[in-house]
Amino acid sequence: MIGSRRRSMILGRDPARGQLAGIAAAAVFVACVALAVALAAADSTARWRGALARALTIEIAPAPEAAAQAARAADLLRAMPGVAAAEVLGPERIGALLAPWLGPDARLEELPLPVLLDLRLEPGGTFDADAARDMLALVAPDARIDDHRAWRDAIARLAWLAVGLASAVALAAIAAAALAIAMATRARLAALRADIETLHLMGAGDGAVAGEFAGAAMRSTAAGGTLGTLAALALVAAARHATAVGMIDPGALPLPAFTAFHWTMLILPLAGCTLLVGLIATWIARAALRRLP
Amino acid sequence: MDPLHSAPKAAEPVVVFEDVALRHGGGPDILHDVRFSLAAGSFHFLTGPSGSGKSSLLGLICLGHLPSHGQVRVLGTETSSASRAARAAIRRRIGIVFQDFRLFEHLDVVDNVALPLRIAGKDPKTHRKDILDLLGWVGLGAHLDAHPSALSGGQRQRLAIARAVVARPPLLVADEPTGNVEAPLALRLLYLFEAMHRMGTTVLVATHDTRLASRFAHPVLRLEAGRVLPPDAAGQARP
Repeated sequence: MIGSRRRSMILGRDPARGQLAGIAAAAVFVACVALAVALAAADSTARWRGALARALTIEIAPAPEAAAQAARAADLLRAMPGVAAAEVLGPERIGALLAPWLGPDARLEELPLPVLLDLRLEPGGTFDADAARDMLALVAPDARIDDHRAWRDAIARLAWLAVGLASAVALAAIAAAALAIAMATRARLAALRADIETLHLMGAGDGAVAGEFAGAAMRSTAAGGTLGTLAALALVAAARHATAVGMIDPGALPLPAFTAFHWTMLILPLAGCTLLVGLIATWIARAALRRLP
Repeated sequence: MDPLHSAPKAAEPVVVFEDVALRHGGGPDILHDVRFSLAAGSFHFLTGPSGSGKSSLLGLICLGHLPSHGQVRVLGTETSSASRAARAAIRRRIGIVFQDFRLFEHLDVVDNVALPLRIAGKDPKTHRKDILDLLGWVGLGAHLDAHPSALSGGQRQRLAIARAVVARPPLLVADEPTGNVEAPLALRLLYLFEAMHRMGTTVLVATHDTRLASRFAHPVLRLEAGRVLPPDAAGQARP
């Protein structure tokens, strides 16, 4: 930039800088909220998947000796390293699981139901799944282990869909703002054509003049983007508060504990938009200056 | 050695036109077969009827245009083959008084004059005394905080001249600098250029006012139908 005594001194103040800041504020707000949603989705599904990965269900086909086999398997599993709990589900738990399909008064004892064994693993534990399989094959040859892989894969796909959609919204908002600001830069270049030509004839370098433009556009974007970011952070904080005090069902709006990493990520739209505007404004200004000899 | 920042050799003229033609796009030649040179430290008038190509000729000297044919050398550098950065560096060594002043309305008088220093990467604050002296010299000492629109035509003209000379350029080019002022003021403005010339600046003043030019004993380049007539052919006595 040419000198620094006064901001944007050579070219004067841009009369449209307020509108530019407004565009940036709106776009960064939308992008920031979308990013928060993406982060929340990624985080929640990671937790669900983690919880599912630490739980296995062992199903023993209905047979007279099934209950005894399940009890022995549970005892042996409990003794294995990395196992937090191994519990045979009693008739009342099974009834509760089947109630949505069979109704609360179903006579379960007349149905050939498998015996279910709920296995909980210690987080980060050293559970040896192969050893468990070998052991089960000995004590309960008809046992089937469900490691919830299908569920985990379905949740992973859902998570990627949510993250992808939210990221697309964020990118579209930033792109729209950058293009709007690019158009404004073009209009301003045209309006200041005579001044730019004079500066050029006075020996100002292309980089210096383009820097003036990019600097002005970036300052407007940064000012508006900061407002948008603050508004989005306030919205996220309000939603977290509403969830914490029970106004919103935590299941409906799973907002993970935002760490420093998450809050830092929410500055990305502001930084990205400002940088993009700077690059585009520099490029447009340089292209216009190239038309001068 | 950097050819841009070394003084032109004593023998080398500051401006050399060799067989120069200029046209814009596919239009007709505005200038053609132009050959002349301005020796270092010389003072020339450039006259000719309006539409004869005076502004185009000055544009070639100030690197506002590049010749469509021939060679223009300014301050020791051939303009067409120089890089963009080199051309910008030459422009910084030329003071221009534009016909329409081209002052920056949002800057006050002091900042307008300081602009060439800032473009050259100098801190105007360290040159403030020079700027104020210069503004006093051109009679604008009482208008330092004024913006151009608050000045009279003559004051704006003097501001434009102060801006052109503040960085002490080796070449000073003025396009109709007396076009909008009364005769007594026009004479005073030309004395400002005279003073610059005496300090070693090469000066070229384009004017349609041949009577004003004839009051000075400086050679006159005449432009007619896109050609420059040599000073002697224009009937001007050399000093």
